[in-house]
Amino acid sequence: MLAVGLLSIVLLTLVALTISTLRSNQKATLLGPATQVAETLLSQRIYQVENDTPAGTRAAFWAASGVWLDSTTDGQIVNGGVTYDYVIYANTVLDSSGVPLGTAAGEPGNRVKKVDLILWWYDTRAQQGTRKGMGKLELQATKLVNESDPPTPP
Amino acid sequence: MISIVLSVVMAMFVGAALSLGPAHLGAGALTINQLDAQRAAESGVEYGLSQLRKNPDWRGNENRITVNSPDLFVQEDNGNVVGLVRTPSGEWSQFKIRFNYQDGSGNGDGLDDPTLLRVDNPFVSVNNLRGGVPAEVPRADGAGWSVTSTSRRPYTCPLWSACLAVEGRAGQLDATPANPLGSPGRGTVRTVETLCQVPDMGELVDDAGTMAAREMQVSLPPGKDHAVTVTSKDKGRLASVRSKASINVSGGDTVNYVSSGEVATSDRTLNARYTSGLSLRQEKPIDPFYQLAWDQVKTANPAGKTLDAGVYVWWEQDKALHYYDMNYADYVQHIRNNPTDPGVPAVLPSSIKPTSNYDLQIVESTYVKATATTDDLSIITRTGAPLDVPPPPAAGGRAATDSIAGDVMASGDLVPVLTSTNQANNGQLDVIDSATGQPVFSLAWDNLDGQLADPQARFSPVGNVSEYDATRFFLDPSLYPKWQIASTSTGYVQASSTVTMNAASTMRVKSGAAPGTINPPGISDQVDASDLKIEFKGDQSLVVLSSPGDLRLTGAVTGKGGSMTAAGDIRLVGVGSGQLASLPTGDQGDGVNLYASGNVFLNSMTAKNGTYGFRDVHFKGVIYTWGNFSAHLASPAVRDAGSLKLEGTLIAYGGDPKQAPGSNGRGAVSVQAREVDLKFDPSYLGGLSQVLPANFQLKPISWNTDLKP
Repeated sequence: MLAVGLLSIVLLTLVALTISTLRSNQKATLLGPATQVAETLLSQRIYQVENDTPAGTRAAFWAASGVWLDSTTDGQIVNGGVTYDYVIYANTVLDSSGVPLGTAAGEPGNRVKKVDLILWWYDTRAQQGTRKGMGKLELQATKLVNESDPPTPP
Repeated sequence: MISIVLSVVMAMFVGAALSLGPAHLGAGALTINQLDAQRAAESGVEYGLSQLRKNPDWRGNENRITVNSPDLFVQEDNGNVVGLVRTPSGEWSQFKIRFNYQDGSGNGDGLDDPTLLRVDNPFVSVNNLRGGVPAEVPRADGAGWSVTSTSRRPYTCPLWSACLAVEGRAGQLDATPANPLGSPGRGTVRTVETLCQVPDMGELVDDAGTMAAREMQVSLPPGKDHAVTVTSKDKGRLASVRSKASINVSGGDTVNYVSSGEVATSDRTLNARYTSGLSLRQEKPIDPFYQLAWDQVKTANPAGKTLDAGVYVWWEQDKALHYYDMNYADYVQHIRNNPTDPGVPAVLPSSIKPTSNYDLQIVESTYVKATATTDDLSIITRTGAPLDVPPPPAAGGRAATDSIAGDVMASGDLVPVLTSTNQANNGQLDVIDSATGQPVFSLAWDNLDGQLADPQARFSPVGNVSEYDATRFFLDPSLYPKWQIASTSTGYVQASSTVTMNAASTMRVKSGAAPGTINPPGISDQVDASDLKIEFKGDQSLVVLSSPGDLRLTGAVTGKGGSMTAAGDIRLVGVGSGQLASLPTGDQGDGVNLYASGNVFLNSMTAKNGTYGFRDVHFKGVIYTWGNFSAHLASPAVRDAGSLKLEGTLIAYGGDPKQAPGSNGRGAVSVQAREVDLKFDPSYLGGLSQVLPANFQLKPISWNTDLKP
């Protein structure tokens, strides 16, 4: 009887561990698509800025300070059945002397913005990207953008 | 038994799951690190592009922390750049750019090695936005990740382009703003190499070895091979000379303009005896010249080594430099009145070293610091250097506009007229034949734009009167008292306008004082321009002598990597006997030999032991003047004429380069020499052949991601 009890405990423990491991696997499985979503989202939005599509995007980006785009107003992204939330910050980089980098006194044309994207999935934004048993379900991507035309591959 | 078998099977499943989970997570993290490293490298490209567009000469050499915010940090150190980019989660990623060859001080890159930020990868960035010629992109495959003369150079960076090779690194870095390099070898690395070019540059400025906003006049003494020869070092670029007015070559050989290139003048003509292969075209007023603004020129740092402005005089007596805190004209006046005044011992900065008798070596860039009385620098001999031979006693055969050089001696009734203190500097004394009332000659007082201490008398025949007759009329006592001062004379307060010569009014032209000489009374110092030398020692990086006023140097000026800039005139007297070369690098400021906001005046006359001669003059680099260019290397009265050789380009812009050529009414080129050899060498041009437009863009023409060493 004792042996059966011990065996049950061991089995239950192993089942719990297995479930935990499967969740970890699930997280790892989702990380790849999330990475692609983050990369695509950032590239797409910067492309829209550089090409000013739709019209006004470029001006709005260079006027932004802090949050530039937010999925709550910009629309969530659904990919592979997973819903992603995001926020994109855009802040003008200042030279150590205090003026916008690349300029004499902040004039437009050659400014630089630091763009930060934060991406969440499984509705974890409110929990700062954490979900019980799965850890962090959040990705960040950061890039500098020069106001000139893009140096993207032709 | 069943329980045991079941347990083993379950344990195997759990073990597999446990081993797969972290592996998947690890793979995901690696992907994230790679992407972060890629974005870090791209961020470095964006930073570099911004810096290049702000300063087309940028090479990561601001030598300071350029960005210092909580989530972005960038530092530049002698051509190397290290940046740290932080994500919102607090992770740092890093980018590194290197323009520095890390090959010691100067050398191939003209940069000192970085003191803090060594970048140990083989990918070197190259800025060729204003290089003028294609630039090779080297790989740092030498010892210590250095670029050597034998390093591989896989491709070239075309005109108007920059190659940016940026290493991005992310994941488990220990780099911080306090230690931006961090430990080597950490994190995941991605390297991006992009070649970006300024698009739509349009038509380039038409190349030319010489550009003159006004007329170009070359006078050659008669003789075989005495000619102007114009060639191009770059076979792909035309050997051309351009003038907004005319080009005239007089004297010389039967063919006195030798070139298979092109000449451009306002009326599509060349007043010379030229070779048949030469092309002629019209120079239009709107055609641009090379534009090189003052702020694009490398000048000495006023906060670096400085030399007080004033007059420095070599004395034979103690073979030392004597200093006078005054401008040149004041000095000449002063020393004639006080010929033994020793001034004060000259104090030279460590950048200027006296090496032997009358020789100075300039080893570092030096700025001429204005004093309360002057911003000019003059280095001269005690008796002054002659610009030409003295006028002969009879002044016969002199050209109509030659200066009589203050050597008119008068007595009697003429004295009050010729020496009157009421006389204006620019007055003109018209002389008529008292018998006929016809004008014969005029004496015009001219202080030569203030370049001479004393007003000079210029003797000019009037109308159809020949120089001979006018001179004879002026000097021959047998004609006295036939000449009179005409009432048309101007600039005289003196009431008498009818002074008549008589026997007591003797007048003569004395001999001996050559133009340009000072000759303090009673001083017989024998030091001549041929004894003096100024040598620039800028073998690896440019050494610049900069003046906020005029530069007036006497003696041979030689060396490599030498450059002179002046906000006023540059006057080099007794120049020659050697070559002064700037540096033919891709960095445009390095190519400048002479840059003057005023005029450039070269004179190679020497007068050692009373024997007059001219030396050859050889410059390599860019000579750029906002005013006129004049090279006096020959005189009809001197048998040994000098030749002028310019490799690079000569621009007499005639105004501020930010405006149109000739906007200040100057820009003439005048040369008297035995031979003139103009070799157009675009490697000194930098980006002079085109001016980058304001707010220019940089478009990628190639992009290589994840470059491997």
